[in-house]
Amino acid sequence: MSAGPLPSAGTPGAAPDGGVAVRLFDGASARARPGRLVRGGALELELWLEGEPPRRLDPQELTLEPPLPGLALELLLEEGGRLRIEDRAGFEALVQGFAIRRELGQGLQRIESRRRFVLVALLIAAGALALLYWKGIPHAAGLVAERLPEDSLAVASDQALTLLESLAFDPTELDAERRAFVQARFDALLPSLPEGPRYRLLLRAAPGLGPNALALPDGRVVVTDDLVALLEPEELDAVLLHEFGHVIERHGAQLVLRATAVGLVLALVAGDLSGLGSIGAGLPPMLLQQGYSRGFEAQADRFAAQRLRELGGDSGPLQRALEKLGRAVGGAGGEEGGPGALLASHPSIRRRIAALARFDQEPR
Amino acid sequence: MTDAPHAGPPPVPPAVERPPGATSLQPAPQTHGEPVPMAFTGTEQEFARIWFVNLALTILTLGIYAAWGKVRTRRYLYGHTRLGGEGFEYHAKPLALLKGYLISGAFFAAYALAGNSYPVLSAVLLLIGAGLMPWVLWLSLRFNAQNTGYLGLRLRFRGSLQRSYRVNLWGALAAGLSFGIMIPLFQHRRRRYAWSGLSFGDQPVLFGASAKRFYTAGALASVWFLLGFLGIGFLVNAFEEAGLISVNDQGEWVDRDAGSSDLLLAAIAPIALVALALGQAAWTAGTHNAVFRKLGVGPDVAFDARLSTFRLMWRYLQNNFLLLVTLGLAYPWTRVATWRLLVESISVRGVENLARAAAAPPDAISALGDAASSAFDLDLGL
Repeated sequence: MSAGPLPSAGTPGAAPDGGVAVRLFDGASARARPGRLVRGGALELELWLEGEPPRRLDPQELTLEPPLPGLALELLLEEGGRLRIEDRAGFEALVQGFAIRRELGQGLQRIESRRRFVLVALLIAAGALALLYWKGIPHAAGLVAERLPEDSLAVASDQALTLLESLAFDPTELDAERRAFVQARFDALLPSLPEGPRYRLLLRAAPGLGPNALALPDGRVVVTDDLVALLEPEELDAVLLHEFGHVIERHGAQLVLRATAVGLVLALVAGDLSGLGSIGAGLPPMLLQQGYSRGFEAQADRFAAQRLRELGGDSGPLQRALEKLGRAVGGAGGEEGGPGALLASHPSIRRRIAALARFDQEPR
Repeated sequence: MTDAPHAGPPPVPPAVERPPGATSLQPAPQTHGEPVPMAFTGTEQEFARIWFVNLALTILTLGIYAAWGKVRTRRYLYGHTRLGGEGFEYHAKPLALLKGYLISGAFFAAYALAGNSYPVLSAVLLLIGAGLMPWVLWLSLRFNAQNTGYLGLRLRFRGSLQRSYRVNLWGALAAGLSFGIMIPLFQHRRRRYAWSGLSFGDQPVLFGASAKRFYTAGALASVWFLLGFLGIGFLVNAFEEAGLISVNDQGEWVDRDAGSSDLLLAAIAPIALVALALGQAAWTAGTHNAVFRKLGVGPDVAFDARLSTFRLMWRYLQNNFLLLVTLGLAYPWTRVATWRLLVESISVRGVENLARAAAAPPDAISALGDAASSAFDLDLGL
């Protein structure tokens, strides 16, 4: 430790008894200078550094950072620099009655050190997150999706379709007769639907997608040639009704909104999950979103089953369609298609079929 | 754990000792004295308590508190990271972080919302984001340096913005277009840029690691990834030969017996997890050691690192397992345990010379960089 030059004035040397041991870090050098902080009268503190005259400190110009377990107190000086103080009790006794500034969060350590409080915090966090996931986000996304103007849905659909046309779709290879037949089935379903957008049928060959159908938010429904080939006419009707369900409930927009919200919440809650060597970190957002899209599938299934019932049948055709799709794609069904859906699709198809069967048993 | 002594919080820095004629085998920088190991004196429990209380407050304040929580956890981690008995310091002001969170959060929301519905808009935003990324990284490096201190003196980052674009934009593009061959070189350049732009007060940080070591680390990591691939391929093959599944011409699996592809997935997932964890540990340990063995501060302070790949692998495996089993609740434990392992692998010769550093004049720095780096998860990976 450097003793520093002897000052020419003042009374350098031993500090009076009492007060607390401190170390000054002036921020201008990487050097700790030991000293003592003592009371210098009713309204002031005095900082005594080795070999220097005492320095007067106005308590109102001192700022205490929130304490942390196992670490020294940090007292910021107005002119820059900080005092590090190991003796907390001594410091609190010293500044009793003084109005030093205290940064937000002084009481946190007391909360953190009680097991009961931490547990409560954990419960609050878990409860709030669960509530957010199952109620808050879906509700908010529903409200926003409902209010989206038709124009924006049309623009979004145009862009999505343009992308799909160039990436996955070719013109349909079905003959004219078959096309007219599918169109007729499609048109026949429309009168049974509640008021909604203008529905249009698009037939496309999509070797990469296999048997598949997908609904665009503005009411266009794309059906692949493979799907037409795979399904019986009633089964095709059921799948179309399922797609209409997606359109009416605005599932596309809702999913985007919900995914965004989940991403933001996760970023806030766990900003720095990287660096743990865990791809487990990438898993939660994926699983959370899958949970949402499963919910939408169930909703669309129920919508289709309800229509089928109103048309005088039951959900049998949809169940058979799901079964066929599950077998054909080796996993995925409906618009969840693709190898990525493997993770959850098998059990989910079985579950969806069971849910439809239960729906049929419910009293009308 | 390591041979690193858990230094308490002794108030006085270690006494200066300089055996005459002691020389280092490292070409640069030349330093004397015994290596002083870094130590981490915090505990998993304490950190977990802080983290859980932060979490609750963040949610109760609709996210506003996140900035305060971040400062608190960083102050804890930095403060308990000790060199020569003295803790590191984190000085960032929560309000500065909050501002950055809001800006980067807005951009993230715009990008994500555009994501599925407006592919064209989202592509434009992505391009803008990519164009801004080197700038955000540069801000982030400056902000983090300025707010990291030791012995009351702050770090500084003086790397140029122009260089950030050369390294982080053109370098990243080249690495992406080279089928991965240039990734180790890119990572080396990124770290060289980040480290050699730093100074501790008026003492510049010297970065001497060679890109060769990054290639070695990359090769070792690839071996594990490759083994994982082989293992998975072997499993799929075995399932197919046992008649449990068949693979169609689109490369998808079709069940022969109900549920057998689920079974296959259940067998593949742990292999993939383990292979990824081992590969990542090999990469991290290799690059960590490469960087810190050739790192110096001024002419008289030299770092060293002895991070065991196997211990890091074991750590990562435990992290994976704990995070999965507890649905992420074990995060604070895994964070502290990993941090401690990395910190305590580092030692420093000539610590006493750090006290000779003096401050360089300050300049104002926005918090946007730091916030963006956490909201977008741009891992600076130092």
